[in-house]
Amino acid sequence: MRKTDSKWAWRRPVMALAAALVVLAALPFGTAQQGQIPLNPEVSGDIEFWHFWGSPVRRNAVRRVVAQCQDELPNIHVTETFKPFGDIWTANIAAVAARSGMPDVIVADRLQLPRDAADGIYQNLGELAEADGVDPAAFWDFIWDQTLYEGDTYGLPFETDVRVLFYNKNVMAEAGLDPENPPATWEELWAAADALDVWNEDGTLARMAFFPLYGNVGADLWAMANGHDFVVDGHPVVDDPAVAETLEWMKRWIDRYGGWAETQRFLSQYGAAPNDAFMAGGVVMKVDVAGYNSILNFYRPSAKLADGSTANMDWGVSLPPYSERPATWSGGFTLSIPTGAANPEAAWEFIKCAASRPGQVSWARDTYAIPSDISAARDPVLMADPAWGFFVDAMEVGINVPFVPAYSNWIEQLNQRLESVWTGDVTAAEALSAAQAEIDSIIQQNQ
Amino acid sequence: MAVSSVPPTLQAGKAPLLPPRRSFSPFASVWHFLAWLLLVGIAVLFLVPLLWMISTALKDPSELMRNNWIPQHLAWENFSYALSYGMWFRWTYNSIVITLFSVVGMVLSSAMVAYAFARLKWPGRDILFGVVLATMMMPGVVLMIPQFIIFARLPAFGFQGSQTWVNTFLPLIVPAFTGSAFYIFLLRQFMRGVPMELSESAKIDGASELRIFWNIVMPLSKPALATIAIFSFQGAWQDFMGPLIYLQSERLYTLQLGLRQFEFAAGGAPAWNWLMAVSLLVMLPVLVVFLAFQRYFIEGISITGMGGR
Amino acid sequence: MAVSTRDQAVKVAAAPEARRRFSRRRFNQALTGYLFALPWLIGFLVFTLWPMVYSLYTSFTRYNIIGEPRWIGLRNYRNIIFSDPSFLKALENTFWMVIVKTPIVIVAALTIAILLSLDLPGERGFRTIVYLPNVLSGVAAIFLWQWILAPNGLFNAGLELIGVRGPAWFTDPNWTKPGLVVMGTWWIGSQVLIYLASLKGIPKSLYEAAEIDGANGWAKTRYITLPMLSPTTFFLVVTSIIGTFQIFETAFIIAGAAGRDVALGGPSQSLLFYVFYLYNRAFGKVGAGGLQMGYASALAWILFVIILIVTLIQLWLARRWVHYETDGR
Repeated sequence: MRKTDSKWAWRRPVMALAAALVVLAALPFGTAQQGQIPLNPEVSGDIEFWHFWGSPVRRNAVRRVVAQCQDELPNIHVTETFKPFGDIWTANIAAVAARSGMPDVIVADRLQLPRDAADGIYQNLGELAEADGVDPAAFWDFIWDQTLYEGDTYGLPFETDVRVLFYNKNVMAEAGLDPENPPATWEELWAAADALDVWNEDGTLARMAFFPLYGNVGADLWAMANGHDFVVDGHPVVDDPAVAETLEWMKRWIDRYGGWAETQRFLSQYGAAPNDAFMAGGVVMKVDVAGYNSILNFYRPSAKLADGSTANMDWGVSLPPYSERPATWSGGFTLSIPTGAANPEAAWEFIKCAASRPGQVSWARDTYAIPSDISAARDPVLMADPAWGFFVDAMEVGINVPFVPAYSNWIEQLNQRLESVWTGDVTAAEALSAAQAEIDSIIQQNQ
Repeated sequence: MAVSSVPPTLQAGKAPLLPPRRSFSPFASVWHFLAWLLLVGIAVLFLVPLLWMISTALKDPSELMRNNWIPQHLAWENFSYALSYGMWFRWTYNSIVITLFSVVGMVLSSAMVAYAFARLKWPGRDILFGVVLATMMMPGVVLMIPQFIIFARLPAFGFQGSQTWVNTFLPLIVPAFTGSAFYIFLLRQFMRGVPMELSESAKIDGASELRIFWNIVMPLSKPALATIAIFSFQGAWQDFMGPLIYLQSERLYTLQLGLRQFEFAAGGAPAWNWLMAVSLLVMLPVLVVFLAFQRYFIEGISITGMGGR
Repeated sequence: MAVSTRDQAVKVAAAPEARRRFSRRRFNQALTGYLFALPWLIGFLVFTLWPMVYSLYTSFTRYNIIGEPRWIGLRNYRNIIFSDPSFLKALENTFWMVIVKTPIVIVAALTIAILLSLDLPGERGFRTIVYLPNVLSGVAAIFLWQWILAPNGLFNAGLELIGVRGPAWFTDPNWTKPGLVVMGTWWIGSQVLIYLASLKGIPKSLYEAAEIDGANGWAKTRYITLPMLSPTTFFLVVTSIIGTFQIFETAFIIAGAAGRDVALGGPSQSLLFYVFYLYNRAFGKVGAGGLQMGYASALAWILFVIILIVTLIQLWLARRWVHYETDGR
């Protein structure tokens, strides 16, 4: 059962008819490519498109999608602009507030979209989507729902991601572990670390098996894997034994490697890809989004073996180790139109093109972003890589944390207290009760 | 209240020349030698970060994590890579335009206003000067938000492709043309020291007030004007918060915003060798200005008591 | 003053017929004065006075700029003072910096200035080097220090030479602010030069007189140099505190390093300084409490009051320790 069906079923038949007519009228102009939302190539104009994908592979993929859509929409000229992650949204907010300087299309954080929509930062795309026959069922349910505010969508889902465990097969094999059977549970992980950790003669760390905070991962994922549900009846719960247990488990890893300062010192030896700790052999297993696969593919790192020789690094992927239940989660981004954008018609055409199956597949091809369009996620082009299917399968254990309108960013209350737990200044229980108290008080203030 | 925040060295109207060398020795000469060694040590410590920056800018990624000073291979390509990444030339141009206009605006307007307070007599002058002093006490952040709201509502009629002043250079330039309380105060103290007789005799010769200002008082205030020009240059060139709030389009970025953008381009941890390479290039103009006008910097700071940051 | 005595002379001699001319002259004088002061007058009205009034009004509203402001009375102030832990954290961080950094900067600057005042060979060069960092500020310099203070960076390598294992400066919440202090001591050039200028202004005769009385080096420093420098010290303390209250850029860049969310305010909020917090509430992400212009305006006014109180306290304290020469000041 699709929850979204009901939202679309109640629409008045007249609207449906109008929509159908528009779709029919638009079809001849659209391409015959499957899954393409009908486009209107007559629309013209210059549009500015903001994204935060600055690394070589992604910047290149963005340009590819833009070029593809330029072919489809010859009368539109797209300028793509890179903005640092984070700054992209604050700059847009300032621009929208000033009614000047906002882009026509922006990559928006799906998990914050309804909150921003409530403040009037993005345009309601509900009517446009309906008129052009955008089919909500084409997208994963939870993804489409995350774009809605008061029943209308504020951005077409462009991509999603999924957190998985990457591990270095060469090192696993060398240490006598089965490279085809990476640790699945926390116990197995801890045991594997005994075989994988390497210490220098002076007692400092030379190789880390695993670090629960290295990669694109935080306490939230581990708590989910420990069976915790963060939002219960619309209210965020962080002060819970399952979370406390998770933090203590994470702290044990930090202590295993000599405390917070030591771990930071160790990790800071490594830089950006291709010198990151995983590729350079400093960390054997890490949790990251599927997109990390594209960085590995791009740099093709080599692994240093014990005998001093090097080999091409062979890496594997599996689900993040769990305690109570296998878990992961998916974030991701939509293409949205800021309020006050100069050229919303052209922006909408570009969004339809980029967020359609061909656009999403093209974007995913080497970035390993997961298409938010279900059928695109298993497109033959993508499935050509034998590793690809696993990422899509991993989404099966994905846990979707419900949106809390009164305080969408409640997780920051947890996150900003964690370092004090890691250094041992504050106990997990203290941090959690303080975070909970503040979440409760902010939610009360906002209601 | 504000008057007491003037360093005692500030003496109205005296040109801020370095005082004559004077020997003054509370210690025996062996102490002097030790003091000199200490100074040498301090000077080295002060220079080390800069040298480290140069060293890092010339390193290969493979050498980054070794704390060696001389790279085995001088990676000049770091500079060309870093420069090939962004719109550095555009951003440099933007920085130059904004800095130029702010400096000119700041110096001209501050000088005019200081002239009014120092050498003209008009009703309300002393009260308004009190207001000038009072605004020096006002922290900038109190005004940050309402100023943003005002600029967000002022129409720009499509200037730099924008409907309002936000996302144009105007909020960064126009306020400079209204002077700064601190500079007005400094210049007023300075201009009061220019002998009044010069103005009197010019007036008898039929010179207008504007002429006296421009041809007599301004040339005689050169040291103070240079100081102000230098500090407003430094302030505008290195301003971060202003451009961060007011400039949204990449093509309008200044170098400071460009640097932050570049930091993120690698995705995740910054590539320090590239970052140091561009940072070095961005610092270069200020460094050149400093070395060229060193005297004004050092004398200026002594009279103004204004910190560089 | 020359101008006023002449005016008086004119006034005494004024005949009824001349008075009209005189008032015309006065009008012209006033006009010239106002014309010259016009840039500042406009700036004051448009960029200072009006924003102040507007900001005060905004602080009593809930306002996201996009919609219309809604009057909510004192609620922003009440929430900030009674139920905003981030506000308290920001105050704590800011006061920490004020209390720790100010004395370190003052003592270091004074020490270097005294060394420089000894007329040692190469003084000009030393002066240039000490001031050099001040021109090398901005984002580039912050990057440089992030790199130097990396856990395996140059600074810790230096500490290792003397057998100290350095901390993970900008990732350990206990060491972020000390890291900023270390960084800050690189930028004491202007304080040094200001001290140096006033050191050179101390009359030599004072020392000579003290020598006749048999004072040693320390006594001369303690009873002549320090008291004579006290107005300068006072000035430097006041400006340094006001500057420290407004730290933004450094904290913003470091807290946002390596893709971290600046809304978190650095490791465990340890870099959440007052103005940084204010920026986040005004221009930050909506979900993280941003775009609340009313709330942020209230924060700004509270900061204004705090700075005012701190400055008044210092003025009051100054009467006890600042020594002004009697002549002319």
